[in-house]
Formats: sequence, structure tokens, C-alpha cells
Amino acid sequence: MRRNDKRSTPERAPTVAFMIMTMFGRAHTFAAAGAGAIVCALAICVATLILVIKGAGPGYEVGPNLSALQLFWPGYSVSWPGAFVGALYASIIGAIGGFLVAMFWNFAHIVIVGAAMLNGDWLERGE
Amino acid sequence: MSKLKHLPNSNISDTETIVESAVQSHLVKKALRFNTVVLAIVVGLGCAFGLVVMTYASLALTGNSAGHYLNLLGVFLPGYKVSLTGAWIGAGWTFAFAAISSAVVFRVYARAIGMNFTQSLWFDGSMPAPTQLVIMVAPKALGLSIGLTLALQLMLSTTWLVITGRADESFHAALLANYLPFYKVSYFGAIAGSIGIFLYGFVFAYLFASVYNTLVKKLGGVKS
Repeated sequence: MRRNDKRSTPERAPTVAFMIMTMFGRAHTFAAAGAGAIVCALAICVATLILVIKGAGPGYEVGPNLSALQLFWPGYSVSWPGAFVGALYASIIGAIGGFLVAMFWNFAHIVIVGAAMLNGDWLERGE
Repeated sequence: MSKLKHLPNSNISDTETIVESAVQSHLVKKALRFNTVVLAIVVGLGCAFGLVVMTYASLALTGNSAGHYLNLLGVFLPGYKVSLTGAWIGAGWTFAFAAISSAVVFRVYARAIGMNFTQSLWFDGSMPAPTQLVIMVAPKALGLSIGLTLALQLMLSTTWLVITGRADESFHAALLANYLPFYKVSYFGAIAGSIGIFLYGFVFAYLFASVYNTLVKKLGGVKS
């Protein structure tokens, strides 16, 4: 099993508290935003370029349905330059999405765990 | 609490034994269930919000001709259409489907990652634990869980189109064949398409996890 010397494992045997804490680690909002941006940009770029490379018959428009994205993304089209314009838009949406998911994940944990701790015995309830 | 430090390799097997037994514990199961619910709520609300925004944007941008594409979602979201009220009906369905899907993703992910989850954290040795712990994502497990969920979704949605007699008129669904070889709106197409979309899901999820983990290391992990 590959080990990364900076990945966490406690010096001593993990306590139950440590195990639980590992389940409540924070999501890194900026890393999630960056990853979301890159993946979404790549996805729309690939989706566009596949249609561009496949092409369409003479007299037919390439990717008329995917082109409908230009309603939301001015400047986008199913073409080589359009793929990169779309990637730019998708990266913004992916970044916002990744950031929000990570932020709400963290927020939910803070709120719910905090409330449960104030209530006490949260782990004992719900069985 | 004392700082976490790196574990010498000689203690790894002992630690894993203890971790394995702890994974079985009541507390960890509770935590898994809790995280499943949190993810389901977060993703469900996010997707529902996204649908409402898209619907309203479509209405604002195209007026009376709105909904040429979005209305197709009404096949899977009963009562949904591009209108002020239809958006909220669709949001309810979207919340339900997205919450269920993300719960499936998380449970498959948790099962796939198994006892390795304690390695799925990042911290600098100088950081105080546990408040600075930042989760990392296991690329293969995430790829597997998202790929399988997407495959299941495509299989169910295609089967739904076939069962309800809409196969012949599902021109837009059939366009997926541009990306999924051998896909068509049929039972066989559902299986063939599921294999293709599993691969897409796996690759993109793997990429997402790898980029995320790299950025966590580069950015130092805690200022989020």
C-alpha cells in the first residue's frame, strides 16, 4: 500500500474521537473550486470538440443542440474557438459549484455538529 | 490536544488493525450516516437551486419561446415546465433525485475506500489537530462511485423512456450516441450506454479528486 508521509495517522493508536474527527474533516473550498473549474472546463471542451471532429453532413449544422448553450454563454459555439470559450464559462460555473458544495459541506457540519454537541448525546440518539 | 505526527512504518499494521475494528464501531457508522445525510442535503439543494436559476434565466432571456430544451425534463420530473411555478415543482423532484444519487455516491465511496479513510486527510505536521484536518479524496473510490451512479441513472432513465413508450420520439436522448458508442433508446442501448458513461464518470471523477488533492497540498490545507 502506497504511503504518503504527510498523510495523517496519529502517532498513537487512533482513538474513537480521532476516528470521528476524521469523518468531520473540512473540505478545502479553494481546492474544490479549482478542481471543479478544471473538470468542468475539460468536460465542455471535450464534448464540443468531439462534435467538431465528427462533423455533420453537407448543409447541416454541427451540434445544433449543444449550440443552444450560447443562450446562457454568449460567444459559445460548436467550433474550435467555441470549445475554449465554453471551457472558460464552464470553468467559472465549476469553480462556483465546487466552492459552494465545499462551503455548504463545512457549514452543515459546523451547524449540525455544534447543535448536536449542545444537545449532547447525539451519537446515542436515532437508533 | 497534542499535535498529530507521522506514524513510523513499523506501527502501520498495528494501527490498521485498530482502525479496522474501530471502523466497525457504532460511532463510525453513525458518522457515515450523518455524512451521507449532509451530502444528500447539500447536493440536493444545490441541484434544485441550479434548476430554478436555469429555468428563470431561460424565461428572462427567451420570453415566450422559453423551454425548448428544458421542458424535456418534464419526462423525468412530472409537473415540471419552464414557468414560474413549474420551476419549483421541478426543484422538488430535482432535490429528491440529486439527494438520492449523492447518497448512493457517498455510500459506494465509503465502502470502496474502506478502512483507508484515516489516510484521506491532509495536515502539515506543524498544524494543531484536529481543527485543521482537511479531507482528501480517494480518486479511484470516487471514480468508481460516481461512474456506477451515472451508469445506474442512465440505465434507469433509458429504461423509463422505453417503458413509457417514448423511445421512438426521444430524439434528444438518442443524441447521447455522439458520446456513448452503441447507445440508443432501447434496453440494449441502456446497457451499452451505461458502460460508456461509467468510463466518463470514472475518468472525470478521478481527475477531480487528483486535482483537488494536489491543490490541497499546494495551498497548504487549512485556509478555507
